[in-house]
Amino acid sequence: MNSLFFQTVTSTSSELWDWVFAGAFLVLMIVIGLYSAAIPQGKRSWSILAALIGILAIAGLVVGEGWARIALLDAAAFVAVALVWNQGTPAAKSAAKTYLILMIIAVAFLGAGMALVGESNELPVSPLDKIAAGLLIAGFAVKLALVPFYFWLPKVTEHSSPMTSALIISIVDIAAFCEMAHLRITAAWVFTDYAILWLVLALLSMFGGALLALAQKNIKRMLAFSTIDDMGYLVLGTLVGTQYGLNGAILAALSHAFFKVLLFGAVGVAEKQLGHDLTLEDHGVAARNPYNAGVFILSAIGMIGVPPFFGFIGRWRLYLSGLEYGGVALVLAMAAATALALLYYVRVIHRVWLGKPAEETVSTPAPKLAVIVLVILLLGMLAVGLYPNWLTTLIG
Amino acid sequence: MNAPTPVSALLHSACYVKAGVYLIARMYSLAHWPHAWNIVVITLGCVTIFVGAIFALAQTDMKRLLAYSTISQLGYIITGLGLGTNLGIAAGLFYCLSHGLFKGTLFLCAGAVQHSTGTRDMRRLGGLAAKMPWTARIWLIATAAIVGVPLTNGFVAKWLLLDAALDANMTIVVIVAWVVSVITAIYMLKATVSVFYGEMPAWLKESHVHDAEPSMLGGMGILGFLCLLFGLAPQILFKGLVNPAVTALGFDWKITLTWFGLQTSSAGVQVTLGAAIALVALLFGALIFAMTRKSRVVANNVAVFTGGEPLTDNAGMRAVDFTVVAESNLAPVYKITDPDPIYFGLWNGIKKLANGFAVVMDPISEKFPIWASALLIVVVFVIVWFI
Repeated sequence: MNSLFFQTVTSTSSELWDWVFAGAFLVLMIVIGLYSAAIPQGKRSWSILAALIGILAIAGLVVGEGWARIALLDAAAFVAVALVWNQGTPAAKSAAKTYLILMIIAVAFLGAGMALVGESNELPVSPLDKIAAGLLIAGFAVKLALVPFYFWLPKVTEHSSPMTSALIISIVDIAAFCEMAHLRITAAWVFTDYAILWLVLALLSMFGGALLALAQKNIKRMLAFSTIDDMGYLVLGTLVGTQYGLNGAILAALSHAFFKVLLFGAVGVAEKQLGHDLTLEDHGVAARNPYNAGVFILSAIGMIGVPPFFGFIGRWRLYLSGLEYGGVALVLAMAAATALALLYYVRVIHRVWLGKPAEETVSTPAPKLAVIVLVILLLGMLAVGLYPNWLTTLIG
Repeated sequence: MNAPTPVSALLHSACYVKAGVYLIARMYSLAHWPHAWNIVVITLGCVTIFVGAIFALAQTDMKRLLAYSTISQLGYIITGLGLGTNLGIAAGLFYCLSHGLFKGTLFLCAGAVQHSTGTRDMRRLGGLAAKMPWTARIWLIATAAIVGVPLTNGFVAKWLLLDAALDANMTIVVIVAWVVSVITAIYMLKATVSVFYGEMPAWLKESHVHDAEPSMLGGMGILGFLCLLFGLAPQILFKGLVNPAVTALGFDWKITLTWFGLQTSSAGVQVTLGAAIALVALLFGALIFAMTRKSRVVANNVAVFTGGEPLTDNAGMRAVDFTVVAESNLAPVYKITDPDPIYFGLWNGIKKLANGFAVVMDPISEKFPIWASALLIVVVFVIVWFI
């Protein structure tokens, strides 16, 4: 077996992650900005709030370890609440309220947990260690929307515009994951001493997220559950914590951020053309814009880790880390969860995108700029998948 | 099967179905296989060989027949990989490449027939060799390869697999592979005779059926040529592709193949001897035939032996006769081995589970997200306390 399994990740390489994530967020903000110029995502203030989220998240990553980072990333989460509220509908406001209350709980728990762990990151005396662990586990479970703490994410996604959802998932949520990955290095005991709890949360998210995604009719809600499903893999890689585990989780988080923007972007273009939310009742959407359909189909394939897309790079390492941590049984469990993910994506591709439209409806033409931006980003994902060495070297 | 023919050729011969084969092969580079894994894969392989061939026997649609044949052939490939020996891995990988070539050729020929006649239904076809001679010739080469006739790559692949199974003392694999080779020959004979030989139906005589265009013939001709090339000189493929792949999977097999795919090591000595005898017998038969035949003129139709029973005008063995015979005699086998009820059951079970989970979680998510979260946080603290 490869000796990489037993190598640990250093804090030096974790500083490099921050810059990689900051760069990725910058690219995503440009993509989201161009997309929202073609398809407006909310009221006038939407763009200001969206830009603020990007600035806060990037600043939070580059500012380095400490309270400043925590404050900036938490501020990004609260601006995201305002972004949902900004959608203006009663349903969106209700979702924003739930999101706000749960974010307050998560931020309070994480802040208190970090305070107990302290600057030294050493194991606090009993029973403070258990209180700190409880606060951090519950805080991250709520913030990352792990099963069964996921309640805010599907509501927010369903009642927000596609790029609002993409911003929350690809930037706010992934930045929170980055915080957790740092904790894995600085206070490893939070994971190693309570491994069984993390493992249960990871498996629940993988299977629960996939099953709930299968039960959805609204495509944006389905994509929200697919994020919850993927968070299970990221938590598992973080728990394993070795070169394959943590770096696999980092790479998978990066690819998740990009692919989710692509998927929500494609759904947004389709919704713009149809004039209503995309659901399983829609058929033959690809006929309206084949390029956009291609973006969704290929992004879905890339999302579940099919080579040669970027998603494979992280997913493969996560499988290796699963083999290391739980042997063949855990790998088979991961494969089963991936098969469920394949089912819900294939169902949407087959029913919604492909086939013959049920009836001829008048549709507005697709905004070319939005589709061009998505196609370029997708090609970028293919390029990174084909030539990943520069990135894997950078990640460490 | 509804895909355009070139897509079917690509999916069934090369890309799609081989992804699973690739995954199984790749598992060798992940970890050492316990013996139980080999047994499981070999068992699955043997069942697949048999079930695919039995279902192919009952088909009347050319592409469906080829699709079931692909299932059967994939069984051969994963059985080779499942053996887990140097020779088994080499056989599996060579079979994988060979299948890509002959199955691609067959699908393209089926596409040419459909393009020319407008149907793939073998019950409506016949006698096309007269109007599509080049398509028929290329089809015959690929059919010879899939059946495992010497001088084709299919022969080398099958020979190597049987050799590997003998070497690994897996007699059951040898028996299954051999018996199903006979079934393969029967269903390919059925397809060949039903489509290209026999009496041409009246509607085809009236329609403007023509051979495939040069560009189409070129595509399938190249694949057909490679079937012969790698049957005559398989070392080319072994040196360039198979052996590096075998090494990459952690195995070490020194090429002991000669021209025509004959083995010079292990159990292959006896096997090669058998092949040589078979080849000599074939050549001897051909020589006697050439020396004794009186004329090059052959009757168009040969009367069917009926034992004195009067026949109707169009009596003869057609595609549907094979199908009826297979379906009536193998009905219990079809019922037991049909995987559709299992897949549908599995899919319905997953859907029920997913909907049941959503029925429980959705009301909580919609009505009491805060209280539910608070309760779950308490649960986390309790668990943390007792860990």
